[in-house]
Amino acid sequence: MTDGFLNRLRFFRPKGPAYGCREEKSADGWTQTRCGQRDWEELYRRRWQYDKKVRSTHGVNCTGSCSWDVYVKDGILVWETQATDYPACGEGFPNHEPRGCPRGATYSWYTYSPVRLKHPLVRSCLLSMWREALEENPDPVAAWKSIAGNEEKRRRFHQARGKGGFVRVAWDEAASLIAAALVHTIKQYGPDRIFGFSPIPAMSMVCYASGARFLSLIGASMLSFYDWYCDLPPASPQIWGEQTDVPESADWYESTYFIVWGTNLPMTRTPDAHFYTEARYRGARVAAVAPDYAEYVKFADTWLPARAGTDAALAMAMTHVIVKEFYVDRQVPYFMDYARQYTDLPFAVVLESGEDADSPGRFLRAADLGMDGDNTRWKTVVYDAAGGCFAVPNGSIGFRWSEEGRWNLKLEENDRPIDPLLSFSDRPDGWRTVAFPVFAEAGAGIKKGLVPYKTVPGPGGELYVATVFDLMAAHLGVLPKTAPETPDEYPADYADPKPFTPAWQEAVTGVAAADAVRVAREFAENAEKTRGKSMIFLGAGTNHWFHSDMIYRTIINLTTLCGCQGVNGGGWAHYVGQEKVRPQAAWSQVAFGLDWQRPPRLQNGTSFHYFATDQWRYDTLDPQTFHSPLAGRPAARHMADYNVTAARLGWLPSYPQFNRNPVELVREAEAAGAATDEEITAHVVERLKKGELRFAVEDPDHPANFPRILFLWRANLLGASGKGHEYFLKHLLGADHAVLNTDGALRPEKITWRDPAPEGKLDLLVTLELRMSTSAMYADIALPAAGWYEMHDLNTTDMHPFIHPFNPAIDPPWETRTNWEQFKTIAEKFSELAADHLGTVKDLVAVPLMHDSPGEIAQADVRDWGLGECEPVPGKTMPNLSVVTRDYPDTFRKMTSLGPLAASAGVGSKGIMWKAAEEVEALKASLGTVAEGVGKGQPAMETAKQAAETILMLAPETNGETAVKSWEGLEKRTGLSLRHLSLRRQGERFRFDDLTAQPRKIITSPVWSGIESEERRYSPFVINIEEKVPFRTLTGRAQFYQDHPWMRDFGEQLPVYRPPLDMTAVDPDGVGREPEREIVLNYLTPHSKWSIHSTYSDTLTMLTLFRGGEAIWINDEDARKIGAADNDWLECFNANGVVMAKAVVSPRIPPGKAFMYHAQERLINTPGSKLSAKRGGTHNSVTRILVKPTHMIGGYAQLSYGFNYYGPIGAQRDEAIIVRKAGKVDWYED
Amino acid sequence: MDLWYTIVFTVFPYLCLTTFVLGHGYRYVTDRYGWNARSSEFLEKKRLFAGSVIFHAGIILTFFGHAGGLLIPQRVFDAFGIDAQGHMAIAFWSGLTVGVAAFAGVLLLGWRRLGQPRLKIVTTVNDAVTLAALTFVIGAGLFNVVFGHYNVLYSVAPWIRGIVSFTPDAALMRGVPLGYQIHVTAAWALLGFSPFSRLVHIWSAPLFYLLRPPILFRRRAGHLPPA
Repeated sequence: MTDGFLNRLRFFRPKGPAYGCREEKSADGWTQTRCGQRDWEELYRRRWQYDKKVRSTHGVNCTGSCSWDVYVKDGILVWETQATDYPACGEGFPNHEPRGCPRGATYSWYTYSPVRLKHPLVRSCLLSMWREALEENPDPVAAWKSIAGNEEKRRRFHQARGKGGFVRVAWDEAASLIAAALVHTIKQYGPDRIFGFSPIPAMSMVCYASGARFLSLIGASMLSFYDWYCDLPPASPQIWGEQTDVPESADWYESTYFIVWGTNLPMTRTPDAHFYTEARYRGARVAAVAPDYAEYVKFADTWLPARAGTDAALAMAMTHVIVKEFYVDRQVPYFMDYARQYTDLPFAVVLESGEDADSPGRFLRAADLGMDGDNTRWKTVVYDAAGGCFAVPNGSIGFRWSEEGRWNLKLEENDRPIDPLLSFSDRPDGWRTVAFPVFAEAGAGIKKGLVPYKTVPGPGGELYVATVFDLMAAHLGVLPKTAPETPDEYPADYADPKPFTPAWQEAVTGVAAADAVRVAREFAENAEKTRGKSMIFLGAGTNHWFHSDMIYRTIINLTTLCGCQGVNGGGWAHYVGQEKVRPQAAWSQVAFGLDWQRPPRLQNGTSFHYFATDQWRYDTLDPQTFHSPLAGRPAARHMADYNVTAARLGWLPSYPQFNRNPVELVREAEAAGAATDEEITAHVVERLKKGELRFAVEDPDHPANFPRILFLWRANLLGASGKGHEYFLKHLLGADHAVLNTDGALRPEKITWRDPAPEGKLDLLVTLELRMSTSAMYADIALPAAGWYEMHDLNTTDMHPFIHPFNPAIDPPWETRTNWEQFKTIAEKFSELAADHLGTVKDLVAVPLMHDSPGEIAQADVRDWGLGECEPVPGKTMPNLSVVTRDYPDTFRKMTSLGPLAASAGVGSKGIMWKAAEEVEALKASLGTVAEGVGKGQPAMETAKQAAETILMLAPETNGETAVKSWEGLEKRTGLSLRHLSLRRQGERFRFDDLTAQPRKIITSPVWSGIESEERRYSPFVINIEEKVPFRTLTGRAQFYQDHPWMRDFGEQLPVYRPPLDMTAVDPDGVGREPEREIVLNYLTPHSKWSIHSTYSDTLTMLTLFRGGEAIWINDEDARKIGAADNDWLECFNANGVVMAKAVVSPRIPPGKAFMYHAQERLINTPGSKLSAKRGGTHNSVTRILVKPTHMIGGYAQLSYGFNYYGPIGAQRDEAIIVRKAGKVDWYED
Repeated sequence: MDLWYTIVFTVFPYLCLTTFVLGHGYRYVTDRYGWNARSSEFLEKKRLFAGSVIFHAGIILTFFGHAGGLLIPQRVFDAFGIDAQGHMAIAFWSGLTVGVAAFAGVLLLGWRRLGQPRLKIVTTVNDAVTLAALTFVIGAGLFNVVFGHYNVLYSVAPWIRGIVSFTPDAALMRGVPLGYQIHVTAAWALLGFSPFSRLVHIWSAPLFYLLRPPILFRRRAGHLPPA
């Protein structure tokens, strides 16, 4: 009755003692208590009521890894909120929660949005050709062959790419087409012509694994992403032999001095930025280095406005100050002890005699001393002050691969304690002049320094050696106190503008010398007082440059010299993409099918794209201009030549492999009489040696060497990461493009040049995506994917130690399927067709010399068998060759069950392996076993959740028993006791549902170098420093010095400043220039506030928060020069292409720079460009791939290949664009 | 002819009044969330001010003028010393003022709404009809004031009083000028239509708000009285 109509009327409201409610006034009539009339509250109550709440997260590359509660109401996915039940960070620490940003909060919009793909789509002209072909011949493989083998038909559907015309098809038909194309390609060209690109496994491990597992089982190749995205800091492998390991954000709170250098923490680490604020309240001092007044600068006590790309100069000057004041003028005990034990500073380097000066050569080795033993060419040498002689301490890489159990950082030689001498200056045999290369915008030059040396007698004669420390000091211009004279080259003081003083850097960077000095001193003093709690934050702003390795090496000088690395609250903190797959070893087992076959094919992305999109043809970088003036031999003619050498010597992977189908190659060998695998590989080696068989990379424009099929999932290669977007369209896809360039003038020596350049290499492009991204727009087949609230999966990040589950709040709607189901669908069809067409075959797989394997000490010298300098020996002077048997008809069954190798051969990563027999038995019990077929009796992995459970079971990070067990191998190698690091959590094991109940912290494991516990936050290299486990480098220590011959040829043996590239030389082809209306700007592409790369950029909420479409920020003075006002359309172009964007005019942008926050795609508000007569492109339409030869080195300790570990990077910030007002724009709407 | 007058001036008014009463009840029960003024202030604020204030001042005073002037019999005014002529003079001048205000206001509002694409696009047919009806009724009323010069006190006024007291006499409207007949008929029609339009906001004028204590605590009432 009280709820009825009448009671809504005020007069009839229920009141009085009968209803337990008396109305009365009080407080002199100022207040009154009334009854009822609160029905309006139902509106709010109902608004926030829900039927179902599920924990999930976002599989996007943001490093947030935030746990979200997702709500369903009336069967509709309605909204999401941040979870707030994270385990606490420990006493006295702020907690991680809540985590979640405005971008993530818009994800639910995608579910029912117009941009969502709902059904499988095929390009209509391809579909009609397909159906016609099937009518003529019902065999799908023959049907595909008739299309892919016909030039005219190929060109027809290639040119339709990007032009719409998608037609809906059933899953079965789409899967048949794809399966037929796969089978045909394997038959005709080989499985190494099939590729998959999906980045960042950490953001959704099972989704990544879905495609990777299928493709690895069939012998196709996955493309790397960390290097391609230019997020890999090559300096990390170079210095530590580690891909990347960084502190969790809670560890920032422990630090007392921050230098934030090129990473915009509030913008890109949104859920973590609060630690940045909290640390300051705790008393941390902050210096920020940025070319503009970025968001992170407002938190700082000091702003060092270094010109973009010149950071290494500032870092060199700071290094100069620190070495002078904390190592030479005064010796800080903490720094010196740290340097002696954990860095290569005390190690001896051979001085090579030159005309008027020596130059720094290679590390002195045990072999040079005439010592016996294993791997003496890989054991480095120090001078023992205690014993008064040279000694070979534990820990260098020679010890890693011998069985001595001495691979550790104890300061010992053969169990005898030693005291390495950091500098010879107190007791030299003499002093010599050493020349070093220096680089400036004007060109390369030489500077000389005075270095104390000692003589080493050895079997090869007398050698002069100096320590790395003394070489560095001389290079920096810091004279030791005991030097016999003061050469003119040395700067008199900090104000003397000779390299590398603070005054010198001021002219380069624009940062006041006094500020550089002050920050360097503060940083070091703080580290001295706190024993290392000074931190440097790094990111894309410092890393997306051609010479990023030099920028990083110079900056990391500071953290290493001040003993900050391996200390909670200290060291580097490089934050880019979501790289840390915590259960990496277990995940890679599942992802690359290692449980069934090894090795998989894993290709480095940058090299692949460089050749596949023919950008090598347009490369104008002359290697000679990069060479050190002291290099002993001439440079190659073209950068691509270095890649060919790297492929031949087994330094880099190279797929497509050879100019012959690898399956055919085995058949041919067997036909010639080879019976065993050894005989097959010997046959192949013979043919290679004779030159009858060649690497595909030597002739990338020959149709036999084209990549044929590419799968893209969780990836927007064409809309986000594809440097040289227009070249992708032109050469790889054969679609309409806006390339305004012609072939470069340089011609490689080792590559066949074909004219004209091929257009449309790729037979089939398949995307498996949630939305119609730019990549889907260009695909031949666009398959609809399930969203992150519709699947089971796992997610981890570098920023925190938790592991999050994805759970489905609703079933995938329409005809969308999870990646796991999508690839199962394809695998099933493929297996059917393979039964008839392929059967079981043998595949010859070439794999490079891998880091963390004995192959990394294969090549002490660089010798090219192709030039007759040595014999080609697989695994030694050329790639490893192995014969892998592929049971193609069993592909689906293998994909959906866990194979036997996890138990028999083992699970592992980074050179650490263990056998997983107990875990596999446990999985059989919990997941059930397969009833029949090749996987009979093995654990079932049919669903994504089973795959996730498998990863959790096999991983030491989530299975305490495995954690303790996994230390064994490392204990043997190091002779150290390490399992105590995981003992406390031995009894813990996380199942998927445990993670759903609450986020859990991972367990310390040997795969990662930090310790995670109740008391401590995760900081990298803590295990190396505290437990004396070596870094996986040549010396076993953090290396300032890189002695590989190619490093020395390019003048990069020591950290040094190298200026950003001058990219203004190439003129766009056929463009009428109008200098009065144009301005040339350095083109920078930072990360956006309104998206995570291209994801979320098209949600309605994000679009309304800024300009809604492509925009580019320019300085107000620059805008005035070209008469542009805020929000005017600008035409931004260079030889690579055109991008149309609205001007955002701001004095925040330094003059001469343009900031185009990247991955805005070419979907929303993209008008036509008069220049190209096409719609404007993406932010990558004006970039081009550039490769650096020193990133291609292999077979040399830490400079050896690993997937996403080392390789050329996709740098782009050296680029320049021409900007002018577009005037009235055409929307092509007629 | 009589039938016609009966229909137009007796039946039709009662139909409209009934619809007015029942319509509001029906609207209140079934469309609580739609019972609002459908304000477009959020979309365009500046030009709304002029039109809205002038119109509302005009129409509210018009309402009181009609209520006071027509429903109160002339003899009451006479008792206060305002004779018929005085009454008509007051009616004329005050009516002219408020009528012009209401008319000008409604024209401003209409012009504003139709002249801006943002507002035009959210204008429903109902809004347009309401606006048009108001303009017509007010326009007709103003026309009568300016050009009418007719004494309503002994014809239209008692006729209206007859309607509300349930003693209708359509014959009273004989001889009334067409302008007045049109005005009253259009007004009845608008009254009948108003429960289904945005004009319901008239009845939501927060009059009680002026009298209530500044701070209220609202308790939840118990559901049923104890047995």
